[in-house]
Amino acid sequence: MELPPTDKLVDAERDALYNYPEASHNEQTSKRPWAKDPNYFKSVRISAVALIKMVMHARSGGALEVMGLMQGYVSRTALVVTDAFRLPVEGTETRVNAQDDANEYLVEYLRLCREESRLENAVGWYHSHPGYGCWLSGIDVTTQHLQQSFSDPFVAVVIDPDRTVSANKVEIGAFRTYPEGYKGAAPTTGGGGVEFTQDGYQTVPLAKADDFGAHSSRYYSLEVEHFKSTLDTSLLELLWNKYWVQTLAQNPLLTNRDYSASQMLDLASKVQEVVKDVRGGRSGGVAGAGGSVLSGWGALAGGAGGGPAGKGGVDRRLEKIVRDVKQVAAKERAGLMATDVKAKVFTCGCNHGGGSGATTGQ
Amino acid sequence: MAIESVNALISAQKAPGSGLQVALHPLPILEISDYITRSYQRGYRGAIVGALIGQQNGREITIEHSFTCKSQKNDQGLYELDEAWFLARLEQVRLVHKVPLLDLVGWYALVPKTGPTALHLPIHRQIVAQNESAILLGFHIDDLLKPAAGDPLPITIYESNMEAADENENVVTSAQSGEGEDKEMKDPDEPAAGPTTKMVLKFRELPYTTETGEAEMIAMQFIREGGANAYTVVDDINEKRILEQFEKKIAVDGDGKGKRRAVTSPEESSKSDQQPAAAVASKDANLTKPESEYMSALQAKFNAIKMMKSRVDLVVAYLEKLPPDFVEGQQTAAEAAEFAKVSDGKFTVPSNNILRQIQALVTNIELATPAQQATLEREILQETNDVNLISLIADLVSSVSDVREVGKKFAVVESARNQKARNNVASAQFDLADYGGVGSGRGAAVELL
Repeated sequence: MELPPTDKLVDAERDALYNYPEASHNEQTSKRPWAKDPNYFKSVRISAVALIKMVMHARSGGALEVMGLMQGYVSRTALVVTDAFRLPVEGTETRVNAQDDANEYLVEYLRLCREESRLENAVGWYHSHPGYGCWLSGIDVTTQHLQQSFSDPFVAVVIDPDRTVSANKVEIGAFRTYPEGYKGAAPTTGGGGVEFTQDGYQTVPLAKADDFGAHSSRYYSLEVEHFKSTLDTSLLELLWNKYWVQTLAQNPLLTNRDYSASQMLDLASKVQEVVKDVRGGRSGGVAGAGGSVLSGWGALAGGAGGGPAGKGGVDRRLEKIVRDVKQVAAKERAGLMATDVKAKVFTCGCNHGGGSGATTGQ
Repeated sequence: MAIESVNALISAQKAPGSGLQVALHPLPILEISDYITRSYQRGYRGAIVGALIGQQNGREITIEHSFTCKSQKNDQGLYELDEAWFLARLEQVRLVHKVPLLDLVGWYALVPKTGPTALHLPIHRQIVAQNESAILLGFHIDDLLKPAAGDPLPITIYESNMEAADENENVVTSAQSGEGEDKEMKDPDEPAAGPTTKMVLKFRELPYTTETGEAEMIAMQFIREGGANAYTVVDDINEKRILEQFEKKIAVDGDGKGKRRAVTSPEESSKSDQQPAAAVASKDANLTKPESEYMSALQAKFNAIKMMKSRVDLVVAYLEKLPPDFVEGQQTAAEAAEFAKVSDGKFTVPSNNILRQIQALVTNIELATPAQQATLEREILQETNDVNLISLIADLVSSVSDVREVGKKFAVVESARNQKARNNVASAQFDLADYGGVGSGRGAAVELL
């Protein structure tokens, strides 16, 4: 019943995040460097278990918002989430709020955790936004602000289960609020946190940028990463053997067609935005170079000569577009590969199949 | 714990089992893995024990969630759950799993490949007190230490039953110490069994299937495909780097000059933004994120095909090893079965049922070739074109970005050259002005402006 003494199952370095660095956590909690720098935390690192728990919880809520807490610790500028648990809170369709009995519940829950020598404290809360994207509403901002005032470090994670299912990819965002009266984050000036404000790896579609919230100036988003252990990896590999039929049968190009189309559409509109900006910027600039067939692209490329100063925003956006489009292209290629493999394995063998079928028929 | 060749606790009854069907979700498996990794990392010494929760509908059990349990050794040196702790936690878990209603369905522990031992009995009895038909999920950690190709999951699920003890004596000839011990412990627990027919707890293996919810599957795929492997490398570099910065910061803090700290922090943040990407890239031989994702997709396909091949090989091997007389139709299935049994594993026992299934499969293969081959090919061509088009667009966009970069550099060089040329012209003009008079020099200056 006990673990065999071995070092083969766990790689001390690769699985370092599963340790609980009590000393360093306490040190940082007492120093509180985040109190001085509102942009101190850059990322949230979520364990495989916590992520699956949160996604499943969000999904089980259906059209109602659900809520829970995350346990973990501070690792420099990252918040490591090791586990998550549900709170007994009844959400409505647009808001979720912790009540007193939920507070009692969480105190009791954490006490029990400590008794089984799991020392992590709560480092954040998660809730779901079924169908309307990952951002913080006014109430969420207030809640998060309150938590950051009294139980910092604390992070707010939002999951959209509906979009997760429709886009076939986990829609998740992590946010922290700025202190009252903080004005350091105009999204166009370059610098640290802003790269991740609108998107880390996931891109906020242009059409939804507006509903990113009227309160978007009061919080910033952190990069969400997840981690898994070496043991997880090998178990997942084994588990995937069970899904071999699905793996071979699935056709990602077909199932993701709508999603990739919408992504392309969104990219197109972003390109258009950039082109518009470039054109506007160079109205008084050097003439020519715009007369190519793909006038948009021509302008974009030609506009480079225009105003290198003050065009940092365009460059950064262009860079993002390049990254996104490469991502989309890679997904598509993977999809095509799936189809190719299927065609090679099954269709090319059709003569053999027919032959053996005939012989057995006799 | 000693591993007996014949496990006394495994039911020897050939009678069909209770027919329980177990559907296992991946979350509990990952939670066990999490628990194990965490325990190793934190130097936790103790039993890996947890409760499984799910739904029970008649004969069907789903295992959907789990939670880790606090256990401790009792006076006899056996692990037991902390009863008060367990009930408190169970109550909490029940409270938050109301829709759909989930309840305790069993528990998990590390179990040797040969099955549960006497060490598992105290906790099992505690769990059975909560749910009479509790199952035990045995995680075979030994299997993971000696991995073999095409392994199934290192998991066996057992149900427990009360069986008459006399059968037990038939199976176990030599009295084992562990065996004696649990009989002793069992007796007071089973007063209803009566003095004449002694009943003992027996485990029986249950078949299980894996099941995955829609959102669960997406989350799993997300975890599996994501570049989560490069993780600790980033962490190491980050830690080292941030440690340095932290020290720097402390040093600055020591100066007591708030202004200087304010200067360093944006620099820090911009650094840490760039670092992870670079570190990830350096990890897998300079693979970019899309590339490593493509790799893992290829790996998944490879595993799937390997799996299919092993299945096909199995069928082929079965057919090849059928007794020759049976294949030629000179033996009936029953005769061939007898023949195969005495052949010492050289021939397979023919089963009409299996043969019929193979026949059905082979007939179905033809369905894999679609009726309208041309339409399919056109469709595939279309998709290929779409994907290639998108790849082209990606290349185009990145070229545009590159061109823009070139343009910018060009502009810098060009403006510098112009500047220089103008300066030359200007100085030439001024030279002229010296000769030709003040008026023309002024004109040149105006022209320049």
